[in-house]
Parts: sequence; C-alpha cells; structure tokens
Amino acid sequence: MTRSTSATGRRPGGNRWLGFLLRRTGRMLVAMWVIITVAFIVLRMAGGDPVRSALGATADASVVQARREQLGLNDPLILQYFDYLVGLFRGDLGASIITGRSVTELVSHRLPATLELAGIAFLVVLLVAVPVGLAIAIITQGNGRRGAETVFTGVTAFIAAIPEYLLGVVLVIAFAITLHAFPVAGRTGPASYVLPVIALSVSAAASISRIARIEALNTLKDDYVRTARSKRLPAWMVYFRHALPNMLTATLTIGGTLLAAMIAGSVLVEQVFNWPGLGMAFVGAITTKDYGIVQGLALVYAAIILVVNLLIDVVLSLLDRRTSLLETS
Amino acid sequence: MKRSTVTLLGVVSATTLALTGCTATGNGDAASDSVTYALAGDPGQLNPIKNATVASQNLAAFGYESLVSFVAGADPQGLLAEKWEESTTELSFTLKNGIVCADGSPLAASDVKASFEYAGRKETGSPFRGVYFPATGLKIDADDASRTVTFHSDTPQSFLLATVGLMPIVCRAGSADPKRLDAEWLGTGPYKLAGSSPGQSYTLKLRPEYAWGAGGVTAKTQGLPATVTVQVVESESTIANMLQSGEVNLGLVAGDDRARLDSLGLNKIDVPARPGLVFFNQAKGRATHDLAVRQALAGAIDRDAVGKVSTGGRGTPMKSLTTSYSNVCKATDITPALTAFDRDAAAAALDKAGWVKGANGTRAKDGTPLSLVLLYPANSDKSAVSGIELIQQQLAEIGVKATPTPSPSYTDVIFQGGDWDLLWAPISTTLPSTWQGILSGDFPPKGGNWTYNTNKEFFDLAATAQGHAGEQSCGSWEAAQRSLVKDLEVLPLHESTETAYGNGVKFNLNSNTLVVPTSLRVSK
Repeated sequence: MTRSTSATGRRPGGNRWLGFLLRRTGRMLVAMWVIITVAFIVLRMAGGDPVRSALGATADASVVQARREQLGLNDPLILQYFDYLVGLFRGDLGASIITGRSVTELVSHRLPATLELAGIAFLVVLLVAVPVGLAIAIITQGNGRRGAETVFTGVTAFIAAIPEYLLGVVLVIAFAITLHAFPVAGRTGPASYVLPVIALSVSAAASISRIARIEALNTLKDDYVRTARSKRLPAWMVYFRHALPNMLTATLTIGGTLLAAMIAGSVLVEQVFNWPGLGMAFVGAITTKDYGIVQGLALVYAAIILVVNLLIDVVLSLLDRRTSLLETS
Repeated sequence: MKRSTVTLLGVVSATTLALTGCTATGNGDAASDSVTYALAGDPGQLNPIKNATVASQNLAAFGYESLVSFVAGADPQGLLAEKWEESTTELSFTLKNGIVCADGSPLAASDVKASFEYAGRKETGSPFRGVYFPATGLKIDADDASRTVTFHSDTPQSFLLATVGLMPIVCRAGSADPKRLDAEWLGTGPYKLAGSSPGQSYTLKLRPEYAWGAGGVTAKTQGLPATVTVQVVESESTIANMLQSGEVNLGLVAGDDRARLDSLGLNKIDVPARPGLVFFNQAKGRATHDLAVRQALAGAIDRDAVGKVSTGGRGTPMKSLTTSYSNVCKATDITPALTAFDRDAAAAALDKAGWVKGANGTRAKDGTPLSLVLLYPANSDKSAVSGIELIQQQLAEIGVKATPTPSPSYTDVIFQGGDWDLLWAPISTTLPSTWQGILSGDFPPKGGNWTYNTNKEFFDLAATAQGHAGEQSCGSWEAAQRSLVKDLEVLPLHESTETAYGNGVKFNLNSNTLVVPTSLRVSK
C-alpha cells in the first residue's frame, strides 16, 4: 500500500475518472450478468418441481399443472431465461412462487432495514476500532508496554472469533429477557437497534482494531511523523493530522471487504432478532424453496457487494491520489 | 442454518430461566383494546383468492369471510349464510340480511356467485380451485331477491359444504377489478386493513358496522379488540420470547419452547400439527410390493413408542388419517384395522415370505438383501427424526435394514417415481375424500399415484362414499380408510401438536387451525 506524504497530490484529469468509472461499471455489469445466469441455471439444475413442493402432496395434478403454466415453468428453458432478463430490464425482479409477493416490493420494503443495520454497525466498527487501534499503537509504540500488547491482541483475537449469531443469542437472554432493557426482537424504536448493532459489530470491531493498530504502528515509524515531531507539533496534531489519515487507507480497504461480509453476517443476526431485512426473507425463501425469491435476492446481494467494492475503490482513489487504481483498473 | 440458530436460542434461554428461577408473568394487557398477533410467515400477496398459505389465510380471516364457519369441535355455524341445504350434487345457501362490504356496498347473492366465478377462472390461478370447489362441472345460480346462492356439481361429492362453505368471498369491487385486491381488503370481515408494511406488520381496525358475526358477535361485543396488529415474526423462538415478555399477545409455538411458556399461566389451545404417517411403495420390484412384507414391517413397529418419541410426548394416537380438528366424520376410528405390534409374528412372516436371515443379520431373498430406503422430509423437526431413527432400530430387530434418507424435496422423489421404499410424510388433511385423490390414479411419472396403490376395495368404498352427502358418507369413508390401513398403503402413528398461546387475550380456532377473529376477547 502506497502512502502520500501530503494533501497536495495532483488532481487526476476528468477523463481519467470517466474512463475509470466506465471500466468499472462495465465490469460490474458483466459480473451481474454472470451471477444472474449462474443463479438461473443452478436453480433449474437442482431439478424437481418447485410448484409441487410449494403446493404439497395433497394438491391435485391438474392444479399443479395450471400453476406451472401460469408461472411459465412449462416453457422451454431458453424462453424462461429470456423472459426473466426482459423482466429485469423492466425493473421486475420476479415474484415468489408460493405467496405471489413481488421481489421488487420485497426488496423495497426490506433493503432499508438491512442497509441500516449493516451501515450503523459499520460506522460503529470504524468509530470504535480506529481510535482504539490508534490509542493502543501509541501506548505500545517502540516496543513499550509488552503487557498491554499481549492483553490487547489476546482479547481482540478472542472477541473476533465469536460468531455474530451466538453473541446475539447471549445478548437477547441477558438484556432483553432477563433485564428487560431492550426489546427481544423486531425493528421498533431506537432501542431495538442496540442489540443487533452490537451483535453485528463487536467481532468486526475487534479484528479491525488489530489492523488499525498495526497500520498506526507502521505510520508512527514513518519519516514524516518523525519530522512532525521534530517540528514540536503538539502530540494530538501529530496523531490526528498526520498519522490518522495515513493509517486509514489500509483500514478502509479491509473495512470495505468487511462491509460486504457484514451484509452477509446480517443474514444470521436478522434471524436472531427477527429483523425485517433481506436476510430473513432470503433464508426463508431457501428453506421453502421459493426459487422466485432466491433468484431475485441473490441478484440484489451481488449488486450490493459489487457496488460497495466500487465505492471503496472510489474512496481509496480520492484519499490516496497516487494510487494506481485509476490507471490499472 | 435457521433451524440450528432457533433451536439453540430456545434451549439456552430455557436453561437460563431455570437457573435464575425467573417467574416472569405476562404483562401484555397494558393496552386494553388492542391485540398483537404474531404470524410465523410472510402472508405474501393480499388477494385471498390467489394465496392459500397458512400465513395468508390467518391474516385474510380478519378481512374476508366464508359462507359457513367451522369452529373446532363444533357444528358448522353460518357466517355469511344464515341457512343452507346440502346434497352430494347441490348446495344452497341463504345469505344473512344486511351484510356490508368494506367499501360500503351491500353483499348480494350475485356477488357471492361472481366471487366464485373469479376464483374458478383458470387464468386467476387460485390454489383453491379444485380443492375448495370443483375445477370443472360447477354451475352457480344466484337470486338477489331471496338472497340465495345455489351450487350444482356434475360429479357427486360427500363434502361440498365443508369445502365450498370455506371459500373466502370477495366483494363485487374485487371480483370486477382483481387488481384492487392486491392493495386493499374488499371483503365482509370484522376488520379493515388500516395500514400495512408488507411482509412485516399489518394494522387492522374493527369495523363499527360489523353486525353479522357467527354466534351473534358484533362490533359492540365486549372485549372484541378495536385494533389488531398482525406482526410477522419468522422465528418461533422469538415468538415464544415475545409472548413471554408481553410484546406479543397471540402466537403459535411448537417444539421445546413450549416448556417455558406452559408455566406462565397463559391461555392456550393445543392444535394438531403434523400427522405421523408411514407410506409403503408398492411398485413392482420393491420388496414392499408384497403385502406379507408390508404386514411384517408394520407388525415390527411399536407405534406407541415411536409416536411418543416423534411428537416429543405431546401427541395422540391417530384414529383417522385426517387431522383430529377435522370438521367432518369426527367418529371415525380406524384402530381395529391396524396391524398389531408383534415382533415374533413379524419375523415369522418374513421367514414364510422367503426373506431369511443371513450371516450378517440382515434378511435376504434369492441373494437380494432386505434393505429399504426410509425417505423423510429434510425439514422434519428433531422429534420426528428421533421417531424415524427408532423405526430404523425396530426394523433392525427383525433383520430389516432401513436407511433413513432425508430429502430436501421428497415430493420430487415420489412424484417422479424415485428411489424409496418407506416414506415418513406429515401429509395433513381435513377431509377423508382427499385421500382418494392422493392414493389413486396413474402411476408416476405420468400420474400422482405415488404409492402405486392398486387396492380395489378402497377405490370401490371411496366411490360409494362420494355418493352420500356429509355425515351420511362417514360410514363408507371409515371403511375406506380402514381398507388403506389394513392393506398397508399407509401406517398411521401419532399426530403431533403445536400450541396457540394468548397472553392477555382469549381466542378460539377453526377446523383449519386458523384464529377465529370474532373469538378474540381482551382480558383485563
């Protein structure tokens, strides 16, 4: 990872940005198309009759046939694929084959809840992990206080290893059922956000604070920090004006992949807290074999992760203008 | 993944409560005239004609009514109909006077007819078509002046009332413009849809003009909640937690979570959930094609022991292939036709049929080992899986090797003529006539006769039964069911239960185990 020493890097030309965005958007579309196609083929290769599964063994054969006809499942595969793609271009993500719920409607109602949960948890992680990492780096720099270092690495390694859903279950028992401090489940008032956000962010915060500490230690050893110190700048200015921005690049890169992981992790946390997000719907659809929903939501999840990655790259390019991202990717 | 999380939550929380000696009691009666009802699934699209999922029917029952109502354990009561006459081919209802739809229009007999015609059109794609009313050969007459609707069926049927009578009715505005049914409630039910966050929560308000409830219930009935909030809570353990904390007043819970709720003194009703049924594959070439083998297998299974395990001790022995909540033929008793549990006789019967024990303890005939695939749905609860494993052990005792095989979609296996010998399938039915459809017809993959049933006695008895209406048909249906059990197309064990809990609210359920909206009474 390259680092810039000052905030006066040359602004990249407009057409470089345009090229960058075009390249990345094009690649994203190709990736989306691959995911759509793979999801479509895999679900059909799984075989079986989702309509029969949905209607059960008691349904009359003619009823099953009528429903299949209505859903277009009796059409040739290539025609179904074409219809699906045309639907996507019209903004129609398909519909549940069991309840008829439109996936577009499902996403529009549930995506905000998932993004809120993952977004707040991501902010909490950064707001906790970066200062903690920096603070511990300051305390332990130059091989000082080995005890603090051992305790920090030991504790964070332990916390980072706790699965989100397990923490969630423990939190519910302790703070919701026993102490009645927070609601058991659901998304009602601000209080209902506390436990799910903690469950989702704690282990991530532990791992990010470890990375932040290492990054900070490296930064603190750098020449420009020594220069800043020799200029007798106040300690807070050395740390916050010079060290902090430079340790952020690597932390953000990891944080970006982490955000994607958090959206995935939210699937389980949503289960524990009955959070009305996409994850609940996704898991429910898989267990009931609702291919219509699984297909649509796989696409939505893929889109979120691709967009997050793109945004992280843009932010990185803005933060560190010497980065080679603009030229090479 | 979901299941393990859920189970873990239940077990851990139950333990914690035991350790801390927590004796929390419900505090859900704070809001006196409102009730929060937890549904375990997304009801999906609002149109009640196009959606027959349990969650959808539970929600729709607040806004839509049927011609008659079957409260569990009681005789049918008029809901939209004040009286009716029933035969195997004709069913005539007279509507109550003064029924008003949610949009303010009166409900006429011809509107009921229009609702059925909308449901019956193929392009509507109603899952009720062919189930709650015949898909073909149904003629409907309506006379608005005398408020009568008459249904004529070409083919005689025993249970026209118990099917047609349960069909939800949409008002004229809905059947004329079905698109409106996706966004609003256009029915005659006691509640109107005041607000919704689809798939999450639905706010229902009591209609002040409601005056035609079963048993004389009206909007003025004391304790009928003014507001019902239906909340989707997809994890059962969470429903249990919320019932316990009072965040939810009404919900259905299965499994071990009930242990901690039972001690709280809530209102509760046990409802039948999954029947324990073992089916036999009688296709040519299968060992179970031979009746002697099926009898030996059935005789080797200790139904009581397996039934207790498979229902977690909360089940009851099945006396009929239909659920114990069925609103027809409640007197049916198939127990006399069951094969007695006798391990020695079972072993002797296998010897006689040519399946003799080899050196490794497994029986074989002409070099073919008696090794069976015991198929079951992969989403079975853990009690059911324990029951299936017990069957495996008991069959091993007489030298039969049964391999429990979970399938993520067992319907695909059986309807495509796949590899199975024994099938554990919780196929829940309310009408004995449904079994005629399930266990007859062409063999797979062409038709749906997946047990390869050729029991002519059953076919004849079922045909005779369809010639009698309602309770008059029950004798023939009982004989038909006994024939199935005797010929071992199917072996019934115990029926498992779920429990509906009310925290601060009294309630009742109908024969399909749906909450009856007009039965809700908030207790102060």
